[in-house]
Parts: sequence; structure tokens; C-alpha cells
Amino acid sequence: MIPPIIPIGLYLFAAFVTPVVGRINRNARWPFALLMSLLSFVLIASLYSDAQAGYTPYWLGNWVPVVGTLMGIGLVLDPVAWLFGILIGLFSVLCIMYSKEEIGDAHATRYYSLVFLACAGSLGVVFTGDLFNLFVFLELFNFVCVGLVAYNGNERSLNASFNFLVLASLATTFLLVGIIILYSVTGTLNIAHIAYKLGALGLEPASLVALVLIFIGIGVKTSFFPLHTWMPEAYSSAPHGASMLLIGMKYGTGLYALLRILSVVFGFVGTSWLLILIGVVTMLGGVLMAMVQSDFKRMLSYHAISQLGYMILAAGLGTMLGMTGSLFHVLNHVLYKGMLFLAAGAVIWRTGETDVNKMGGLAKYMPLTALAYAVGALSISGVPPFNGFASKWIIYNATFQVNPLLTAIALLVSALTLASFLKVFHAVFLGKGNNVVKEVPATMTGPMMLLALLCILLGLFPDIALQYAIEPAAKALMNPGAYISSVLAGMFG
Amino acid sequence: MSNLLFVLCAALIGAGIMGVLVKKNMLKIIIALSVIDSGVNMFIITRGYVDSCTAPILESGKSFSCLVDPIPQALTLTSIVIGASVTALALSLAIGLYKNRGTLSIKGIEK
Amino acid sequence: MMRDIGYWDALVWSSLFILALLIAYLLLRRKKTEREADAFLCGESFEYTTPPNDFFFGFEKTLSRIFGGNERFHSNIINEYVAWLLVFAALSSLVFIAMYLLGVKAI
Repeated sequence: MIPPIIPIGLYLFAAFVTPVVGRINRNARWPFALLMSLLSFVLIASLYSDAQAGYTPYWLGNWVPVVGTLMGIGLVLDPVAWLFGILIGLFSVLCIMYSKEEIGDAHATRYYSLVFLACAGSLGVVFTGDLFNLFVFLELFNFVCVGLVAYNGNERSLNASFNFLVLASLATTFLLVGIIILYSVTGTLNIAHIAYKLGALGLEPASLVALVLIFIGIGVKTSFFPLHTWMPEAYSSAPHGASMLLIGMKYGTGLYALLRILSVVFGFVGTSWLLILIGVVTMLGGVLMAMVQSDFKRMLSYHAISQLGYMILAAGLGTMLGMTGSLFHVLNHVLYKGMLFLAAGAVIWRTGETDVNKMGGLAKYMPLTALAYAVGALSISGVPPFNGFASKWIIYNATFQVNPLLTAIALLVSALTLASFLKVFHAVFLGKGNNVVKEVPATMTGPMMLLALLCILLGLFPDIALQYAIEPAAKALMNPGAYISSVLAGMFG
Repeated sequence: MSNLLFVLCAALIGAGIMGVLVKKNMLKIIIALSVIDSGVNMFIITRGYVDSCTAPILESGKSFSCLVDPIPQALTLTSIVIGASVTALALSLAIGLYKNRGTLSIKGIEK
Repeated sequence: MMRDIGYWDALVWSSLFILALLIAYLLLRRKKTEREADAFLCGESFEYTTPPNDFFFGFEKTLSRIFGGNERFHSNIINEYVAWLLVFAALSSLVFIAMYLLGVKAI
């Protein structure tokens, strides 16, 4: 097994060596960046067999825990961390492929460095087993997000980036205070060790304060309602490939970190009515706001928030079916939402404006983009045979076992989602067209078609993903006892 | 003594949060973020303090009886670096917004 | 697993989808009588199309208070965003404290 630190180190290496390559030969930047991202994707994919073997800890510097002492920083590789890691790897490749035409030649170096640093940061959050390590990588990811959101340099991007920076640094301040309180209660920073000691101590007022602070801190990054306010402006102002990349990495650094800490450290496994309530409010608030948007990418960001509501709702149900639905929905969502962001980016890049009311009749000139958008719109609304239907079907079944009212709300939100996507499809691709544009080049349609193919394949054969990736991940996320005993294996004699 | 320091930390963090809540000038919001960072760093170090112990530095030839916890000090160093980076990033965004808008207000001119 | 919770067969679903596409295509291709017009999908030659902004006019008008409140919530002013963050932090701390005092073990 290669150490899980190698993909993270490779991303950092690529981030700092791409400018050097660019200095030597300007045209070598894009192939080098693509090569590095492909290499990292292959390395993360090669960790599959070790990830499926259970919770594999890797101690940096070989500081393996001996009896009674745990001093090392650990990376834990388990099926759900592998799932989020492979998404990060895939999306870094697609983003670099897409950005060849969009970013152009002048400032490509800083864009590639930002993309690689973002991948390194989010991969570090996903693979880590240590709370302060999570904090540091989350801060690294926040900084790079600030840079990516403010990349275009106009007033809207800078404003969105400033708002994001203030909210994110406030949130990570809360997270840091919560981590320090947990450290002062238990005396250690390792997630499994804190869980072990808190299990012995029980929930006392100090760890309750830490729970609230960590919940808020990671909640801002997860962006459920009402902490989602930074997200639509930020993701709509970023460059289009970067929007797709940020969507791909959001769930690893947000939802996965939240679920992992809540289930392992504080021991909340099972039905969680607070997460169900937050999920329902997020679903409704997101889709109601998305219906009235006229900005293309902002509408897509609001739909991302409402689909996150589905994931939180299903994860809060506490059953195996619910967690399976939630993780499968994460996988499907990043696939079709990434494709939708790429299609929106292609349209905006060609027509030069972001307002859907000013576009029209583009299906004649951009057929591949229209096809990708149609597949994405049908997937997000849960229409068979696309992959959105598969994961939503599991969520409907899971919520029906708990309370049929939740299924009714989920179906209503699906219908409203379909309505707003049909409206934008009519506005952008059908109808009367005023301007003649060309189709986007192959490096931009390539990722879209690949994602569309993945959507259709996962929709027709969902059992492949379910059996090999999602069900082991759901089982791994719902079993904190096995996590603790696997990571702390050397400490108990 | 430690309780007084904790109250001071809470006051610093509270003042910083008040600044982010109320102030409309971008530079004042950035200063408030920096004040919050100072409060949090002070909280971390105060948490690590053990009564009447010395700094956690091993010097050759001297024996130690009791040392202050060194891990919070390492965490504080990281946090200071992160705070400085946040301030730098926020200031560069404020400069860019000033060039675009002509004013340091977070609402822009006419809105 | 999909077979446990219902009926799922790739061939059946994809053939149903292709059948639906075929029916739609045949309907669009049908020669219209004098009083009917051809369906206009995409292109330049049409005098009037419904502006997409007005698609949900009735829906928006009925729920105008909810939509207005939602839009005021997303005001893009950082002070109000931080205020909502603190309100949510206070509410969730009340929830967690109540849970702790009542001895409930699950959130």
C-alpha cells in the first residue's frame, strides 16, 4: 500500500513545480498539470483495496501508538474516505482538462497552482484522523477557495470572496476553540483517541460547548441552511472549471467531516431529528430561492444547496438504507452538478453574459452542451433511467420507513427542481435566438460528455457503484466502534 | 488568575465579533477578525498553563520539575500564521474592492 | 440492492425511455391541420415567445411573502450573514443544552 500522504504530497509538489515548468516552456504547463492530476487520480484509485480492508491507519513518521501512548499524527483510510478522495481526484483531472481554453495562456500558472493546492487541502481533510490536522487542511482549503472565487477580479467576485473569507475564518475560529476545549478535556488530538476518552467520560458541559462550536464551524463549510449564505455568490463568481472543482470537493470537507466527527467523537449514531429538520429546511429554502434566480450559475448553486438538504436528511435518518442513499446521492450529485456547471460555463463563455433571460435558442449552435444540460437536468430531478433517480429512490424508501411526510416533502422539492430546470432550459437552449455562437472546443465538451456517460451508466447499472463503493462506505461511516478499535490497535496490549 | 485571563479572552473575542457584526468599513471588519484571532490565541495558551511551571524548553544541565504543556504552544504558532494569512488575504481583497468601487464600505456606493 | 426495494432492470428502463422519446418525436413530426401550428423548438424565426421570467408568475405571486423573505435573507451584506450565524449558534446551543439537561442521548 502506498502511504495516503503520497497523493497529498503529489498535489503540493505539482502546485509548486508547475510555475517552474511554465518558466522553462510556456506550452508545457497544461500537459504537465494534466499529467500530475492523472497521476494523483491513479494513485488514489490504487488505494482501493487497502480502503476496502477496513479502517487502515497510517502514522506519519512511523509514530505508531504503543501501549499507553499515542503521539503520532494519523491518516485513516477507510471506504468512505476513499470515496470522497476518488471524487477529488476525478474532478481535478476534469477541471484541468476544462480550463485549457477557459483560462487561456496568460495567467494559467496561478490557476493551476490554486487548483492543486485546493485538491491537496481537501484531500488532507478527507484522509485525516487527527483533529488539528483537519483544522489546518481546512484552513488551507479556505484560503485557496478565496483565491479561486476572487479569480476573475471583478467587483462581484471580490465581494463574494470577501464575504466568504469573513464567514469562513469566523467558522474556523469557532472550530479551533472547540478543538482546544476537546483537547483540554481529553488531552489528545487524535479523533479515535478523543472518542475513546469521551466514551469513558460521558457528555459533560465542556464537551457540550465543544460540540456546539464544532457543529457551527464545520456547518459553515457544509453550507446547510442558514449557514449557506456565502455559497451561491461564491460558487457563481468563480471560474467555471473552478466552480465544478469546488462542488466536487465541498462534500468531503463539509458533510463528511461533520458526519465523521458527530458519529465518532460524540457518538451520535442513529436517528437524529436535528439533522432531519436541517435537511428539510435546507431542501425547501434552496429550491424556493433557485426558482426565482435569473443568473445561471447562481441558480445551479442554490440547487446544490437544496440537494445537500437531501443528503443531510438521508444521513440523519440513521438507518443503513438512509446512509447508503445519502452517500450515493453525494456521488451522483457531484457528477451531474459538475456537468451542469460545465455546461453553464460553456454557454456563458460563448455568449458573454450570465443572465438567462438574455440568452436564447442556443440548442441549434451548441448541441453537445444542450445534451449535457438535458442529461443533468433530468438527473437532478430524479427521472429514470439517470443516476439521480437511483439515489433519490433509495432516499424516498429510506424516508418512507421513518415518516411518509418526509417523502412527500422530498417529492415536492424534486418537482420544483424539475420546474426550475425546465424554465432555464427553455430560456437558454430553446426559444428564439438572437446571437450566433459556435460550439465550445473539444477540451471543454470532453469532460461534459464523460460526466454524461457516467451519469447514464450509473443510472442504468446503479448496483455497480452501490456494491463496490457505496455500501462499504455507508457501513464504515455508521460504525464508530470499529473505527476506534482499528485506529487504536496498538494501544491496548 | 487563570479565570481573569479567560474573561479577558472572552472579552477580546466578543469585541471582535461585535466589530464584524456592526462595522460597515472593510478595514474595520478585518481588524475585528484580527482581534478575534488574538483572543483565540490567548485562550489556547491560557488553557495550556499549569500553575507555577516553567517554559517547556529542555536546557542541558538543568533539571526540570514541572513544565507547561507544549502542545497548545505549537497550536498557537500555527494559529498565528493562519491569522496573519487571513489578514493578508482580506487586505488584498479590500484593496481590489476599493479600486473597483472607490469606497471602503461593504455596500458599495449607491446600494 | 435496487432490486430489494422495487423493480430495477436496465434494459426495461432504457427501452421505456427510448419509447417515450420516440412517441415525442412522432408527435412533433405529425402534419398539422390548418388551424394548428407547428411546435417551435429552437431557431430564429418566431415573433413571440414567453419570457422565461414569467413562467412561475402565479406561484411567485401567491408565495410572495416567502420569496420576499428569502431574498431579504440573502442580502449579500456580511454583517447580516454573521448575525444569522450567531443566531443559529445560539439556537443550536439551546437545543444541545436542552438535550443534555433532559438526558437524551441522541440529537
